[in-house]
Amino acid sequence: MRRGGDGSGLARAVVEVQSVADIQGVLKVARKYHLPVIPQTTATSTVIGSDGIAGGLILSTRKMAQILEISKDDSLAVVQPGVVNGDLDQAARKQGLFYAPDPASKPFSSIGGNVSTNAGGMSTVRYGATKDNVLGLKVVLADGRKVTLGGRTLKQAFGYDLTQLFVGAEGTLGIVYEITVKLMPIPLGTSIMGLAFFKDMAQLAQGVTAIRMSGVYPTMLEALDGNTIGALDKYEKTHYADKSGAMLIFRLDGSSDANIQVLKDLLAKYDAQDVQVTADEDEQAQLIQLRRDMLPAVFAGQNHLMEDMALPLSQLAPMMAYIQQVGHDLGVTIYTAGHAGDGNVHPTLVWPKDQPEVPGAVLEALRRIFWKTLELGGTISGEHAVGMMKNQWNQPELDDNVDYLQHQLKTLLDPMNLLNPKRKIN
Amino acid sequence: MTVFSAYSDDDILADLKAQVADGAVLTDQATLQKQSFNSNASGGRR
Ligand SMILES: Cc1cc2nc3c(=O)[nH]c(=O)nc-3n(C[C@H](O)[C@H](O)[C@H](O)COP(=O)(O)OP(=O)(O)OC[C@H]3O[C@@H](n4cnc5c(N)ncnc54)[C@H](O)[C@@H]3O)c2cc1C
Repeated sequence: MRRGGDGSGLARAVVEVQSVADIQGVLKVARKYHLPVIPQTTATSTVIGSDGIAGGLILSTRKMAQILEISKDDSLAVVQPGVVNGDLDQAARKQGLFYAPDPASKPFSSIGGNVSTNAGGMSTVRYGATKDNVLGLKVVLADGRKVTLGGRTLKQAFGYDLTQLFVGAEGTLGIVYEITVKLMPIPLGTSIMGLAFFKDMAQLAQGVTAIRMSGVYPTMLEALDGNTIGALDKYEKTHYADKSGAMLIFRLDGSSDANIQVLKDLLAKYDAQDVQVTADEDEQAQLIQLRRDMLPAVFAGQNHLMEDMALPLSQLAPMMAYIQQVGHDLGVTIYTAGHAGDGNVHPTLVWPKDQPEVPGAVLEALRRIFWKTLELGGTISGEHAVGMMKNQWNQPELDDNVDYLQHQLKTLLDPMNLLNPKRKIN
Repeated sequence: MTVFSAYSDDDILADLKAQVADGAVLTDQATLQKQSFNSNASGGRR
């Protein structure tokens, strides 16, 4: 779908930078002619975060894609922003390590983009989001200065934590050109994955909360509702929807028999049906693929908006029930899936392909879902960031004082408002 | 009223190219279209 009314527009030039000097050069030109600069790497943003702005300069760090170092002794990697997440993970695995953050876009999205959106994924429940895995950054500021933030240590208590300020900054505060990330040793022992089926999402959510509290530390707790399972069935020619209204895909890394038993007992306690567990690597890869196929299965042939709220775990079940109710009340088809283990819900609202405008009922459903999220103590952006899609919600999400403080920070670092203007903080 | 700026598009692009020694400055329509509009947020703005 071609846009424009949303603030995106045709850029004047795409600059594929290859060096820090190039980045500084682009910023110098932007300052001289007052041009917006849109940092971009692999352009997989789902929130209109890296689309062009009319007359602006897309500064692409896609070609700065070298893994500069993998240090086994320090358990870290130093990379340029264009390195693809999956490529870094594979390179690390050759040395007995792995890079934990695993967005569904892992095979094609970049570390630079992941850092700038604070991307999450299926294993966030165990290993944290991108922010928990970044040790240091090198950034070019809007005025062309280079700054080195954080470093190679696992702990750091000196100065304000500016590294974290730039994680999730969505290209509005500076251009990230080098990143130091944590790598983890591959866990010993058996990894198991499995499926379990529940009556509905609310019941699944209760089971997930109990598993989280049990001490077994799962590395994946992914939830799919009945609509999503139905779409997957069509896509994969499977028959999971016959079984239930909600599916849980779980994984335990390096697990003992005792832990696996605790998990099974909890699933039984929360009335899970047809629990299937496998230690076979190929079968596990198929289950991960099943989860990844959820997106094309749901999006197939329809217009969609996929949302991204995160709730306190105790509010996951009420939220699941509320989403279903809103869909029912407004006659909107909603497919809900998400990283249930960390309270992250992705409802996808769909409407017919031949209808280019977002229907009013879909907008109203989203509005209700967002207000409910905030009422329940959640956030309307768990991992996909804000971009142009949600920056009108800054005031209710952040409140007046924090909204103002964010603008003060932006003004301090980018006084000419050149970097990704109107995105994130509007 | 006619509004005109101090610099032409050509001035700006020439300056940009002079500043970018290692990378590439792309201005062909196909690249501009492709990189300006991704389709991941297919619903557009709400
Ligand atoms: C099929 C699909 C599945 C997805 N699944 C997930 C998921 O599971 N979890 C998740 O969190 N996200 C997911 N996403 C969203 C997206 O992949 C992430 O937001 C990702 O982190 C963006 O990376 P990118 O390199 O494509 O960034 P881009 O889209 O290029 O940019 C994203 C943001 O980062 C800024 N930026 C990019 N590079 C730099 C830089 N060098 N310096 C400063 N700012 C920069 C941009 O200005 C923009 O604001 C998915 C997207 C798709 C299409």
